[in-house]
Amino acid sequence: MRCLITLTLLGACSAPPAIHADGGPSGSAAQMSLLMLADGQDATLVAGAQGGFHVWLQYAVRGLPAGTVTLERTAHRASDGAVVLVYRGDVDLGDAGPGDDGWWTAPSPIPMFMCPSPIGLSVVDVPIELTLRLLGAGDAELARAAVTVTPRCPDAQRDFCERICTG
Amino acid sequence: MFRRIVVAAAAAAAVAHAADARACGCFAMGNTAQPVVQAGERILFAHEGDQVIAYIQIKYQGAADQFGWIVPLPTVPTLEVGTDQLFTMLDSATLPQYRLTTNQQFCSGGSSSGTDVDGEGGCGFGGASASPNYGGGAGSDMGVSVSRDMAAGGVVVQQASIGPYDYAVLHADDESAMLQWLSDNRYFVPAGTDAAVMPYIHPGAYFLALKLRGGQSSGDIAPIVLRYTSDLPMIPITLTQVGAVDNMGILVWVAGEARAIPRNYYHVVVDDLPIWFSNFATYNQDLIDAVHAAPGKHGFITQYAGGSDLVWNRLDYPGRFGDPTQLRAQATPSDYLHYLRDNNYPFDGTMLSILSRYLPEPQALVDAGVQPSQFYANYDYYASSDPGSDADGGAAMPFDPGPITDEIVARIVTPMKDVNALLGRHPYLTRLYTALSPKDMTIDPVFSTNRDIGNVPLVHSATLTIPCVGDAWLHTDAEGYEVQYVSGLAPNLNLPRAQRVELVRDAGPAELVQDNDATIRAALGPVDHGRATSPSSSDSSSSIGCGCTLGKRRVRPNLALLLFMCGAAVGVRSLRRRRS
Repeated sequence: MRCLITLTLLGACSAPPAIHADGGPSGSAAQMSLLMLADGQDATLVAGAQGGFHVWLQYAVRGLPAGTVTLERTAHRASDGAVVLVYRGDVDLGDAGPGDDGWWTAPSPIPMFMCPSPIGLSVVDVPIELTLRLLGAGDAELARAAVTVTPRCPDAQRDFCERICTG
Repeated sequence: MFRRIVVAAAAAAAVAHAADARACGCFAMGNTAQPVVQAGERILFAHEGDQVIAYIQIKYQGAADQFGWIVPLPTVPTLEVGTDQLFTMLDSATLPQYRLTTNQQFCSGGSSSGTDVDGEGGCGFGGASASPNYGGGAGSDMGVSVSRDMAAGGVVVQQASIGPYDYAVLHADDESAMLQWLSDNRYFVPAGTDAAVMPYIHPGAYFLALKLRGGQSSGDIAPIVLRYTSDLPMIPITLTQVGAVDNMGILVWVAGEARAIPRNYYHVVVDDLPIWFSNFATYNQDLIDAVHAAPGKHGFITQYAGGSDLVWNRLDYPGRFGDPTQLRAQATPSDYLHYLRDNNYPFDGTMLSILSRYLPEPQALVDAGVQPSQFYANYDYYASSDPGSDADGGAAMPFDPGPITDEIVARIVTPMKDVNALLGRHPYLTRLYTALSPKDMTIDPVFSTNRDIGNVPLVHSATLTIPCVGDAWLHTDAEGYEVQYVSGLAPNLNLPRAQRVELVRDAGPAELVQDNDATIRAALGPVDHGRATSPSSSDSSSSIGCGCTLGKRRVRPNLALLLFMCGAAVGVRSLRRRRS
């Protein structure tokens, strides 16, 4: 059983609950859920191989046809909305088809690039809101999900992490 | 060349003696100059799917068996061989252009101005430029130089050969294991490398190590193309510090969907005035000084941000390269070389290196100092004078066009077609520049995008107005700065090299960190626009060539020089038009 927590916290642990559904302009019934992280929890930053640190997310989607859409990942500092990350890339939904429960789960977690953080912007020990949005033609929002976590530097690399994650 | 010298001299005369000339009606055309940007490291990044694609130009001078190169990567990469032609083209096509329009006001009223995009007009500014200098010794791009051969070891994930290289992908889970492998395999590890690699040592991380294959020369070193899974392109500059030189220039192009930004470096906007004042003589130093205005000297200058159409189809266009099947059918070296030239194959270092293996230059010519480029460009001549070197001329020399064609296709044609296609898939291109010294290489620059900020045009324009009476003044179009050119000379002002320093996030407008605008305007002082026409047209007592209308003032020798030079330039232009 997957434990899913997202923006609206419609459910805690269920086979993916409709955490947050935003039909976008067309009012579609698409739903998107975030896995692995709970709202308000600490998230230990994971070292990237090129010297950065990330928070990893996995997501699930249902109600969307298979095909290529844009996945937008954003991160903002919760206290003031300062932009930490905006990133867009294409994603193929449903290559493997939805599961029995109708949800298509991303085949692997995706990194939310935190560090090196933007200049003057610390991303450790402060709440950061992570948002995923699926966008269709004309950037129409098909679905979104978000979670707010507090990134923490890993003990093993605390000095280096604090050097590149505190702006 | 001669024409350019004349034009430049005329331009210098026009500016230097503008005050004396008063209202020489010689129409003065503008000019577009391209300064030279020195860079020791050039990289093109693109992002497709979950892959970062990095074209990296490797610069190295030294013995082939001493060449080595390592770079940290987040995943096991795929490798291809790139082409230096890419960087030559990118540098040329996206180099900032400085366009000066000279506005000569006629004493009798009216004015004449012009801008010559091709720089062919007379009486314009000529650009002075310095030659690129890559530091002379071994250069390392995104990595450190290592040496000697490599062998399989416990940390080796993959070993293979591609193009001129043998390569190995190493686990970077453990610093000591990786460095031990380098040591065991007699890689030269510069002092400080162990500390420099530490940020890149993580479970699941990798290092790529390259060396030249046996029989390859330093001239075979070609850019490499890496594809690896990652979100944002990054330059592991912390590692580069080990082999870097002071103020090492770094040029980065990012092909994508929107303008690329330095995510964790400041963004610096150059003050163009010192560049105009020096006539580009100190351009590179001006850029370096501008970068140094950023805190920690961590800044990037955006030199171009806009459509990628200006670089697409420059490397590969209809008709280029002909048909490899036909190339393969050329029976003689002479025919083969003619086919290459007729179909616009580049005769760069890679080509010369390939040719030297399959069509070696006779030792006698090498001993006589005939350069490879000279030899292949005049192959028929040398073949006829040395029959032994060519099957056409006498003693048969075996020539099999098959293997050489395979290598040319693999190392020149395919890379150029591939990267051209890549540029065509991304509508936006950003060119970023910085200069870093080893001690400042403490933060690896990461590049992301911002869709909310505008383009950065290629052309920087200004107008030099030479009034009928009074001193000339310069007006920069973008910022609206005005400054007097007293006696026709650019002012000697100690201006900030950075017009402003900004923070640019992934979204939203740039945030101002340091704004030197007021300082610059205050330093420029008041500008007297003089008089656009003579105080009284009845004062005019003579009118001579170039449309000059002169007052009663005696024509000074330097004015005579100006008139002569203007006449020379106009004459050259007329001659050229007749020829064309």
